[in-house]
Amino acid sequence: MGKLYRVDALIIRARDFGEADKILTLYTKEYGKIQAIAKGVRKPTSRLRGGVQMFAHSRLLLYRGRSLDIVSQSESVESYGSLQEDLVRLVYASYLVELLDIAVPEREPNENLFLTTLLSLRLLLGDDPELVCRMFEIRLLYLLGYRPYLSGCMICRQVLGTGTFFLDSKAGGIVCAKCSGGRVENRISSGTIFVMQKLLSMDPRQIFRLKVSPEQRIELEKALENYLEYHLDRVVKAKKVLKGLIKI
Amino acid sequence: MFNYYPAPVARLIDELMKLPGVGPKSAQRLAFHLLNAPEKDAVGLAQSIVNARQKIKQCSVCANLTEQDPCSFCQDITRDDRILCIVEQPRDVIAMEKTREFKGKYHVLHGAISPIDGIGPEQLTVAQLLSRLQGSRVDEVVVATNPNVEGEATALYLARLLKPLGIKVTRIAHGLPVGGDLEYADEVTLAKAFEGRKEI
Ligand SMILES: [Zn+2]
Ligand SMILES: [Zn+2]
Repeated sequence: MGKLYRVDALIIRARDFGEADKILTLYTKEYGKIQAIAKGVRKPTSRLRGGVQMFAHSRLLLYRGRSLDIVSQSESVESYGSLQEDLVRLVYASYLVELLDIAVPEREPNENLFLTTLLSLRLLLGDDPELVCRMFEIRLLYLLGYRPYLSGCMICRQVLGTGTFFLDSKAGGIVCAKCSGGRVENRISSGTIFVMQKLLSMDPRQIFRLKVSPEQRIELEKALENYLEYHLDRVVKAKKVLKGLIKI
Repeated sequence: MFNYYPAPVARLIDELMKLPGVGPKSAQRLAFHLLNAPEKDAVGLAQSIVNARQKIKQCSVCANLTEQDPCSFCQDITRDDRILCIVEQPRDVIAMEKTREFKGKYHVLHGAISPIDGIGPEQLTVAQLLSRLQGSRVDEVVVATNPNVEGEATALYLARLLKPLGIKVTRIAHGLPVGGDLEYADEVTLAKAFEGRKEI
């Protein structure tokens, strides 16, 4: 590989650096997560800037630098610019890319995850950004090898359909009320588990047809939050801000 | 790596490295520049830092940096107090003033909402903004945050927050390219942005 290389990249973080530069975190199809510096892009005259905005899907030409690689050309494939016209979608999108950033180590390519992220950003523009986030969370877990076991109680094999279950982050799946040892947190109904299975198996473009009740949404959100925090070992900062902003 | 230097030099390098955009190499270069410069220059710099720190505070009305409180903008009775321009940083007030387009008052947020950095409205001067708007004559708020994700999130949030109070919320947008910082825009671009403001 020479000094110049091309990537198909999603901009998942852009931090101001120096006078007019930005340090970008890119999630690329070819190399997974990498960092690069985009020089002068905070000036209105910069020709790179269109392709290095947050959430943009771009083709970038990178130059291998001594410490950080340098963006030398950018071409926007899709800007997802309309995400920035609605507060709720914008904050959900921020949450989604922060979660990705936390979950993946540097330079570990995962083409399926790259495509899932792009598709999720596109679907965020639709009617149910919350459900899209839940789908992204559970697919992220699946693609990173943390897929929860959802076919029945992990211990006694009791099947879904009746009764209450609990999502056990440590065990990596659901357990029935009898086997749960009298716990109360992370309660999850059979209906919600069914929704989780569907979010994993359905064509993502069809998930809006799922009927998910407000109670199921709360269960789903809580259960996945605990599961993610257990396996990622980090709290997603955007989520707190997200909740505060959406309330008003 | 700085153990090779006498303690006071190492400490100076350490302090310089805390400045934004200054890495270890630049910090060493700056430190030796200061040590080689005439003593009065170095002492002058140190004194002006102390002086600025001690004399400059946030205006209790608009949160701009000022020597007297309230600041000169807030005290200026010739400025229109029915229109308020909201910016991220004190330097953006200067950029706005250079356009000579705006004759209202200001409010400085000291940042922008950034979910990824865990920065919500509580970390900004939003509460101060709400309390100054209570019973004020302000009927229009122009949101002049930077045209990037954080600036847009902040603008959308303020629109949601202020509209129920019966205040018209407008956003400068036209003329400013997406993703840049306000301080780098030229006067013509900024003046255009003002003409093209729209309700959000
Ligand atoms: Zn069981
Ligand atoms: Zn003031």
